[in-house]
Amino acid sequence: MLNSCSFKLQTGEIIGVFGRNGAGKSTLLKILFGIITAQEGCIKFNESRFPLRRTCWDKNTIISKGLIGYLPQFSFLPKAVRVWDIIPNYFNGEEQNLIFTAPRMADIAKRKVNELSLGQRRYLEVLILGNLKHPFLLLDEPFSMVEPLFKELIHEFLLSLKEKKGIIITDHYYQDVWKLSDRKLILHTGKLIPIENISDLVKHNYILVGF
Amino acid sequence: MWRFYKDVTSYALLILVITLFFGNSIIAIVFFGILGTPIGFLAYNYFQKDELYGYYNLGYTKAKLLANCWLINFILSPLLILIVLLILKFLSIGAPTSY
Repeated sequence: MLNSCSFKLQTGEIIGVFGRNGAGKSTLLKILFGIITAQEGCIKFNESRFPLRRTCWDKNTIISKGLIGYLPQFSFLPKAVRVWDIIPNYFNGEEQNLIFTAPRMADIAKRKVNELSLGQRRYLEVLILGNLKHPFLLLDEPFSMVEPLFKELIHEFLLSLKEKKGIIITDHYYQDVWKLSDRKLILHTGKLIPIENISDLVKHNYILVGF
Repeated sequence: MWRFYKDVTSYALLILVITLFFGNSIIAIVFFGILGTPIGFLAYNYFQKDELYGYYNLGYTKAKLLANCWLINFILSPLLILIVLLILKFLSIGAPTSY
């Protein structure tokens, strides 16, 4: 599915990855996070190398070293638990205030996860992951089903995170991704191609007309 | 981590209760200590798989979660056996004996 996928990402930068359904965007993020194995390839993190092909004797240590945070397409929070009981699982003491004092969290915090709207759940997940200490963040569809007001909050939050993290975003809400990202890549026929203009999205059959 | 332990062990305890109906209590607890956690994890993986991503983001791999959980339950099972034996002993005190 993927071949010839090579790129650099540094803290202080947001990369937007575009691509049609089935192009391999989520697969790429899962490989980078280390939960699925690739046939070959590696991540170079400063001077350390992490092979993307996992074997019994050579485990991927991306997760255990806490280098990359990953927001999956679906909700990962336990559904029958109140939000204020979940936050202590991720943050200690004062750090919890980063979540509890975030905009619109007063209403969200006292409810159970299964009582939250999809947008509220997504916003909460982005807040949790963004405030963890990973230097890099992979966001798979952070804007999916999110209402405009929450989208604005996520935009602002991700821009504030950019100072200390490197972020990769992929989402079919491509206008949001386009607005946020410093560099844009499109995944087409298994290759990751840099793009500059909206017309490149049309050229690679991702959209019919530019916005 | 403790939430994961609690979730997996609740499935394992359910299996323990079921096995109690089919054999004696000691065998059921040994079964819980050795195979309860892997079977509980299979159930967790089926019903709550998505929640694993939360643990991954905290730095816990699947192997580490499972190993920690299994080790705790493995250590707990002899204690459970001891408790059951003590309860059985107390229940047998004063019971009529036949010669």
